[in-house]
Amino acid sequence: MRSAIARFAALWAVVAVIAACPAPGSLAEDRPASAHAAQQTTSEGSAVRHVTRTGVRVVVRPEAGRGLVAVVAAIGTSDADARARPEVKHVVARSLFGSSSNLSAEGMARVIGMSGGSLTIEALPDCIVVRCATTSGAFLDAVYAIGQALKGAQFGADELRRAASALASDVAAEAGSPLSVGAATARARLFGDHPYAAQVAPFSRLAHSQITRYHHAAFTPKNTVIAVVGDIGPDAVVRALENQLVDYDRPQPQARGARATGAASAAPELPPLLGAQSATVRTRSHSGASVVAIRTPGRSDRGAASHAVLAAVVGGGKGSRLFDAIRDARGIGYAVGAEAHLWRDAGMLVAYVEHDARRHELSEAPVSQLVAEVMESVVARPPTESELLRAKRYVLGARRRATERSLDLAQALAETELLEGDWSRLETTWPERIEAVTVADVVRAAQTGLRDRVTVTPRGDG
Amino acid sequence: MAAGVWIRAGSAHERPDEFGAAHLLEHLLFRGTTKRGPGEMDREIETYGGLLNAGTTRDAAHLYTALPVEHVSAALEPMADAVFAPTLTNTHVELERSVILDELARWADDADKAVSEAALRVAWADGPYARPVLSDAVHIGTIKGEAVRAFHRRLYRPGRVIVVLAGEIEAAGGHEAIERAFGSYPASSTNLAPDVSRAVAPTPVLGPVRLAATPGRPACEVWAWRVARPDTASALLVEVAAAVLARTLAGSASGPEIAGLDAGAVALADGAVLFVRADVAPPAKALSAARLQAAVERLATDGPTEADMASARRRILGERLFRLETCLGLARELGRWEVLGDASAALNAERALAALTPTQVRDFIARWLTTRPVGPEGAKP
Repeated sequence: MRSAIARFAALWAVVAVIAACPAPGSLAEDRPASAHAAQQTTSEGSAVRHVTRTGVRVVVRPEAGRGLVAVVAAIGTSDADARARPEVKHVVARSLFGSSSNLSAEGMARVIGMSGGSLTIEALPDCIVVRCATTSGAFLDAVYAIGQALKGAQFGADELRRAASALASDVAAEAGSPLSVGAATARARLFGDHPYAAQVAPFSRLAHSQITRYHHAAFTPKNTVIAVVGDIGPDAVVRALENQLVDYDRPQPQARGARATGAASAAPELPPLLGAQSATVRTRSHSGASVVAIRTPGRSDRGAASHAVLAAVVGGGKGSRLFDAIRDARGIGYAVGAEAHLWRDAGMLVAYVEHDARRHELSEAPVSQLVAEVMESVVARPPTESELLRAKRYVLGARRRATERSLDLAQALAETELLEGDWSRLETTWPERIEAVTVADVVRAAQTGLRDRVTVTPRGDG
Repeated sequence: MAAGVWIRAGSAHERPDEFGAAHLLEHLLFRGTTKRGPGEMDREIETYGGLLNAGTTRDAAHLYTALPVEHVSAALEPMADAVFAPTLTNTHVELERSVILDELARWADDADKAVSEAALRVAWADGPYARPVLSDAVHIGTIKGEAVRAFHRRLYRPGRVIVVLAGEIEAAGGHEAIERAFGSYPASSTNLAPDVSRAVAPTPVLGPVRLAATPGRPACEVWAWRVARPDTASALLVEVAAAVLARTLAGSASGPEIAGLDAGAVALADGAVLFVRADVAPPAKALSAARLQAAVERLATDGPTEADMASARRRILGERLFRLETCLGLARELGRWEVLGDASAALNAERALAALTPTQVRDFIARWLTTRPVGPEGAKP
């Protein structure tokens, strides 16, 4: 490969592949489909937004095609994260599809098998995301399985043991990835005791009560968005979800620090930034890396688009400054780039170079210094108009490619609805915001961010 | 939509003084051409909203991009330029040599890649498919710029190039765009047929090759068979056999559950490899030669059950649906199969899979998956 797209979201990653492959099956079709009246249904463009009786937001994007349907449930976890150890979230995600109040673990596995496709669960900074690829024929089975997990996951002792073991393996695997270690270390420095900094610590056991408390706090209708994209009509989706989620009526816990009038969420405040910092960490890998990170505004903030374009100028694509200055001009690094991770309340822009651990470390100009210099160059030598145009097109092209799969589009719709309150911002507001970014915006974003940059050098032990 | 350009010039085509050249050349294609400076074509395509990337396999190198349909024609021209008119200077060879040494370090940390590489190494120990695409640090450190240029002169010929477009474009418009970009390069007489050809005879199961533990992953063992690539009418036979064998081993009543058990296949222009991997994580049971032999013999005698076949079809179809959902995935699958012999196999896979019978799978296993094990010494990985 000429280059790899480095994904290093540390433990914000796929946690389980539970079933694979489409299968015919219609267990759920035998259940009566009650005909609840639709609640608050609105259409915009090709999608339909619906709020169920209990308050779950549903976004449906029909796409006639080959019978495939993507179902994604995004559950906001900001409040629950503020009250729980980080490992609790990951164990909940990993054991969500075990036994439920209506199904044994074997029964759940059978329903998942009948729903076909694939079922994965991800723990992300703002939410837990359930991703299910199924077929229109098996859609009801998929919705039944997801409904059971949302409403009544039981977290049996065996399921928790397996989840904890899988988590320990994943943590160990992350320790072998210099980019993951670098990003996690930078995040810890940038976000202090905020849940965005959360790193899983070694743990011996988690009490069942910790797990269920988290599940009850996070898995509420108001915290839940379900997006469906594919070969199925909105009416069928709404009917199925109203039917399956009629008893998903867990009350919203009082948010920490929220007023009695009840804001849906009051996430903890971000800690103050501490100025430029640097750290060197060891990793169990042949590769080493250089990572420079800055904190960015949250995804709804005006400045988020500027930071997305800044990331593209610095390291988005092979026409970027980092690729040009580090890899093309010096022959350093295979994975070279920059990405802006934009979460609800803040984000992180990470510029990185991954290279052989035994090479480049003794050179007069350490790679991390070169990466920082490239970021600084945006201030000293602002992007030209053609460079800005390339960066904007890169950001929009990357978004388009990242949502080409129906499952990815469903996730993007669900996250946008959950975190920004309006799914349509994905396709309308974001391109407009990117197009509106000026050279001055990009320079300002770099200037501000670099004051508190964190430089991390993960050193592989070869 | 997506555009892909495949060149039948993979690592298996390298001569001894060229080891590593196929992949190094793929990197160098973007270092400038007679018309464009370094990085220029990347900036050009990224300004269209696309992203240009490339890869190398044992059988071919390929360049690919996904971008809005209105820019496809404009993107094909720089791709043709990269393929036929790269500058390949010694300075750029030195810089990319360094990049690939960094890439090799990354590969060394990739546990999944290590499994298929081990299978290929042991199954094709006496042939060009045994060598890793990236070669190794010794060869990369010493390969000469002239060897890369010679590889390019010898193999980057129009007759060895395949262009694939996938997406919302009419065939006529696509042909016209390809003709405009590639038509000015003179035709060569090079045969289009795969040319690493050699007869493949059944081998005993080879291995196990032991792979050391990596962070978060226990040590594992890999067993492999070298098999002939079936003709395109039954191109999925190897994959089905692998899926059926994995299921049989996992469900075998003759022993306890084996951790990390899986089977897979790698298709090549001149054959294929079927492999089984299993964790070695005491106190869990390791996969034994006897258990492997029992599973293969059962399948070679009785054939897979209908449930085995249904499970294999679901697994393969699921993976295919995932791969083909994007334009880039479809373009890649078409190009890959054209290199293997016939792009239509990519489009007909669902029908071909449905038509496969348990008897065909049984006969394939009986012919190719002989089970007399050869120990690590015999395999000489």
